[in-house]
Amino acid sequence: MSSAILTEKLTKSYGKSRGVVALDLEVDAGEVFGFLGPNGAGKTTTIRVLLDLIRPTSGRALVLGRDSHRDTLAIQALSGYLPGELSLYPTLTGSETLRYLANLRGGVEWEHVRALSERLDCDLTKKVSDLSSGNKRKLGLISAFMARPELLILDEPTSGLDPLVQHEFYALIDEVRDAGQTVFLSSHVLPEVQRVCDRVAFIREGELIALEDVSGLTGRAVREIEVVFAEAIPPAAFAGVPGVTQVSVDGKNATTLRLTVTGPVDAAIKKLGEFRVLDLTSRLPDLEDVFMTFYTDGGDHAA
Amino acid sequence: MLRNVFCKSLRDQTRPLVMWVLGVAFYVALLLSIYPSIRHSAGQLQGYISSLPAAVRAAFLGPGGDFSSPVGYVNTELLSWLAPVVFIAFAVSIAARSVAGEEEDGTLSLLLAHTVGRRRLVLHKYAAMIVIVTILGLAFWLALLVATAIAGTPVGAGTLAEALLRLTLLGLAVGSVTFAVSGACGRRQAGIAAGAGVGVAMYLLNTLAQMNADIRPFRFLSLFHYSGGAAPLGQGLDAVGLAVLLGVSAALLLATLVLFERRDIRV
Repeated sequence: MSSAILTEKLTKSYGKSRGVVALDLEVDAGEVFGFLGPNGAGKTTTIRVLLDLIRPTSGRALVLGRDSHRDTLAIQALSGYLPGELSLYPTLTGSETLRYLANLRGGVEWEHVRALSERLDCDLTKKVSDLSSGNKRKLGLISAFMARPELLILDEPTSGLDPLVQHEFYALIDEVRDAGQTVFLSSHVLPEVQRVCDRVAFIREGELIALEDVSGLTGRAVREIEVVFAEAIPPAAFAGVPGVTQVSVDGKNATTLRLTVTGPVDAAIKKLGEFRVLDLTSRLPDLEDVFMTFYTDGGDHAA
Repeated sequence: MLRNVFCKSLRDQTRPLVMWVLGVAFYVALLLSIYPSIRHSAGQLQGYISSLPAAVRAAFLGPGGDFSSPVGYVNTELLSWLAPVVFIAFAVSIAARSVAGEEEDGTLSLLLAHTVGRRRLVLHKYAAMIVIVTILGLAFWLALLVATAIAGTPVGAGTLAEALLRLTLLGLAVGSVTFAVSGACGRRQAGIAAGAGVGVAMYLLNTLAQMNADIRPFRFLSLFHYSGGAAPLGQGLDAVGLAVLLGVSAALLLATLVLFERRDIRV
């Protein structure tokens, strides 16, 4: 009973597209659990099974100790859900929308709704049709949080939110964790999961690839650094630098250097300092690349 | 009006309901306002109608084709085919918007995640459809009552009520076809096609059965047979007819509950 979510060989197959394949997942009560994977990996499918919106082809899911299909209403009463693709009633205002959803649940503490809307800077007096997608998303978040549920199931909660609101959302998650609530959130952005989650499951093409403590991930972030130098650069200069896993040089006169760095970037940055740098950009690679580095070539990193 | 799914659904349908009620009231007023002048020439008209081939008469005028009495006039001009079309079209449009409408708009997932439950959702949506179509029936009844009185050709309130009860139930029965199909597959269009198809097929069956002795035995398959056919007014109520219309609706509601319970909700 200590697991908030437990899936056993959960499989959902669709005609041609894959859904989820024999997924075994366990989310402990009280933790913030990240469900990470590229778009179309099966995150939403899994979440919709948990809420009994779709039915598994085989296997089963227990949510808060209850069968996802047989005890749907009990599960829903104890959980808050933010759909990945949120649709609301365009003719209702924000507060009407939340009143309606609150009524369906049998009422919530309205003060809490007001407090949430202020924190997320969400204008409840506007009609949904007049709201930006980010503001609609805020309404969805409020509806998920408003009943102070035991379990929060959030499908891509921060997509479309501006950075300030994202920050407030992270603070909310921290508070919810402190209050002992469980959070299960899906994301396709690694840094976000690293920021808020205790544990993270990687899913790709419907299969669970890895399950990690977030603390184990830190220091293993993979990033790509692109540097433009004033003069041509010999790639060999960076070959032996700790952390650098890939080096390439191109651009006009071989002045552009591309590095893939795993883990701390300190050594690479110090090495760059030996040359005259005109420009530098750093980006986090696609999740696919992360997977490739973590679980294909980077065998020594595999969990 | 945001208390539950039933109330919210009523609220959502208020605007279309008002438009349809206004349309009905306007048409009834128009029709009855010209009746006095038609009655003057009823003799000539009747002669012309008698000269039409029996098949044409049956198809377009029903067994009545009678302009000399208010009951015949209202039956012929309004209740033989126009009113059934109105009730069916209205019920079908409401039914299609019910479950499939929310699903295609994407709001169904959110609703169902807020402890509504699938069975409750279907029952609330269906109850809302009953109320809305019944309101149209009441409006139709009131419009006819007032218009016939003003035109100086009153038809009894009870007689009118009987006819409109039949038509309301006919609309609900065909609407239930749409409700079940769109609820079972989550597509508005499929439900509309099913409802409209069933409506047209049953109308044709009932009409052809009046003209063709070979088809006549199959008349019982048409819902129009139970709603008073081409002349709902002045027939009174028959228990079998009402039972069939209600039974068909109830069976379709049951089917919706079962089918909707079993399937996946689309994103």
